[in-house]
Amino acid sequence: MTLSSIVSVIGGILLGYMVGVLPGLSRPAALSVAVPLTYSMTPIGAIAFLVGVTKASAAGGATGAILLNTPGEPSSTATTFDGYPLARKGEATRALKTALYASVFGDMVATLVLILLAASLARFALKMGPVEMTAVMIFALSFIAALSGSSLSRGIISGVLGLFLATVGLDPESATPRMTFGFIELFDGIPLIAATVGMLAFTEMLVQVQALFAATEKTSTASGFAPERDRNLRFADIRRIIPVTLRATGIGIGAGIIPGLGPTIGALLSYAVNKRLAGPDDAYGEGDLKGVAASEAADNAVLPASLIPLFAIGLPGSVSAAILVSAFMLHGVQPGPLVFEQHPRLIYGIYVSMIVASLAMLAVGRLGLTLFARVTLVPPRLIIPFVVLFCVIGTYLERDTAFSVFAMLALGFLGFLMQRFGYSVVTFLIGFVIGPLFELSLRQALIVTNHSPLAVFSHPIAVAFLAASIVAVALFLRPKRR
Amino acid sequence: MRPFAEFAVVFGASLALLFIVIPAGTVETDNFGLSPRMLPIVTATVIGAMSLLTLVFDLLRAAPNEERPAGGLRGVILLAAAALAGTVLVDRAGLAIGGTALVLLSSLAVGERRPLALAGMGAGGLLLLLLVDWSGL
Repeated sequence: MTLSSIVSVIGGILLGYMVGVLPGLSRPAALSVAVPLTYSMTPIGAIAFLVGVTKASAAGGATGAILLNTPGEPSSTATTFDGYPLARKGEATRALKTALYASVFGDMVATLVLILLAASLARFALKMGPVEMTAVMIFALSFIAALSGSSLSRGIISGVLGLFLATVGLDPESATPRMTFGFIELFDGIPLIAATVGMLAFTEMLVQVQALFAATEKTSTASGFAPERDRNLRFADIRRIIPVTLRATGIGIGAGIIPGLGPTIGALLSYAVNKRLAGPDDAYGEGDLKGVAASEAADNAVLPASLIPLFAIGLPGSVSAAILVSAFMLHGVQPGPLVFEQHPRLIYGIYVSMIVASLAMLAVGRLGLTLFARVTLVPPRLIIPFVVLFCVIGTYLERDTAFSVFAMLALGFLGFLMQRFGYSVVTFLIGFVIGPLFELSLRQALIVTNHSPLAVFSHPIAVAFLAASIVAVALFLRPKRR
Repeated sequence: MRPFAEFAVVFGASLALLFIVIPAGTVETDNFGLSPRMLPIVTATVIGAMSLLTLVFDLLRAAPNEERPAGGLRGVILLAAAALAGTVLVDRAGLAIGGTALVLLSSLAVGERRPLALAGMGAGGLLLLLLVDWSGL
């Protein structure tokens, strides 16, 4: 690891943080833009730079999620559930600190797992076929029951509506258009960025402007946020969030190893599991530091874990990992089992750069945190127009078309109506995020098993996940004792 | 009254999906796996069934209606209209001009009338958009 590689990591971290903070600039998009920047770098410097971009964009995504209810990355969606309520309660700095420390922790642990256990864990990834993936998706969907809020039936309606809207686009098997009604822009489906930004950020701006006009008690303060009285994380807070962070890291590592799940599903899954395991004193969804830690630790654990199957068997575990493959190949490295023998210096260089990236992420995040938290002091009349602008820029840049922006606005308005009438936006997003992968896996599984449901019994991992789904639903439906 | 109105809207929407949107927007194929219509039909049916269940639960519980803020909807309509107009301008005139107009329109929609503040917001928005344009993102 040379000085130039360390500079590359820090450069990547700064770029990644910027990308992460701005909504709409997704991690894969940032990586795609960053790959050409590495042409003149050494292989270690190039990979270190890209690792920095990826890691920091994951951590930076929490900033907008906490301060503006605008996830910088779709994977930060779950961070908004508790981060934004914390900011409104006057605990923005505490939420940002929790997000940062949980991010770094999840990332560090996953990196160590990558270093120590890559080969043995990669074998598990190879066992995940379509039948197993369908079972994992059913397991993930079962968490809709946990996140439905006060009305289970309305939560299910929202989740199923998300699944329905996820079917818009080309049919994954026959490639015939579904509910696109002649719009070519819909062939790839409704953009995920449009859905997350619309449903969370634009909806929140509509809620804010309504409160502003109604001059309710809620926004009688100058900023719309309660003043920050306490900015410190205490030992008691850290003791509360440690078990959650550990669980979230484990879930994130699992989501990273299993190809296709990715950070968004990993973070949502972790939030749902931790919410279900909450104690009587926890207040998930109302502004609890545990909720922020649950989402952020899992989100950041996904990337290093997704490199496990990439390094060990050449199988990328996420979109970001797939783009990293192109960067590897650009610099003459073919990922796979032989990479440890053919390029040991490169692999160990990458490992060191990943640890340096985690530390640099901590330093950059800690320095920027105080500055970011000042957003809460800005009056809503100044914030709302700029957040609306960010919403528009983010969705516009994703596909370079105004169609995505119209979709975002429509979904934002739908989200506003859903919130007003008690339908969960959270379960909608779970259904929408999981939908495409669920349908694809289900179709593949049906073909693989020749449409025989009994064939699932020859897939023990799938059986385990299906059993876990049944147990999870039973647990979620059981009334909680207080 | 409200549970019935809610049921009418959600159940009606699911029927519209089942009998108008899905048949008009999908075609049957003879592929080996699932029909392209399968998942949309199942999801629309579940929405309809769950709306019925919601009605039953609401009637059984007879819970008092949650209080929702009645005022302020004018602000929601103004901001939504400003965002829509700004997006049309982004589409027609490009990100820099349309985006700046969007910031100004949104500012007016939320009630900002001070000329200096409006000028500052517009200039800030334009600067940000030029930065995005310059960075090539």
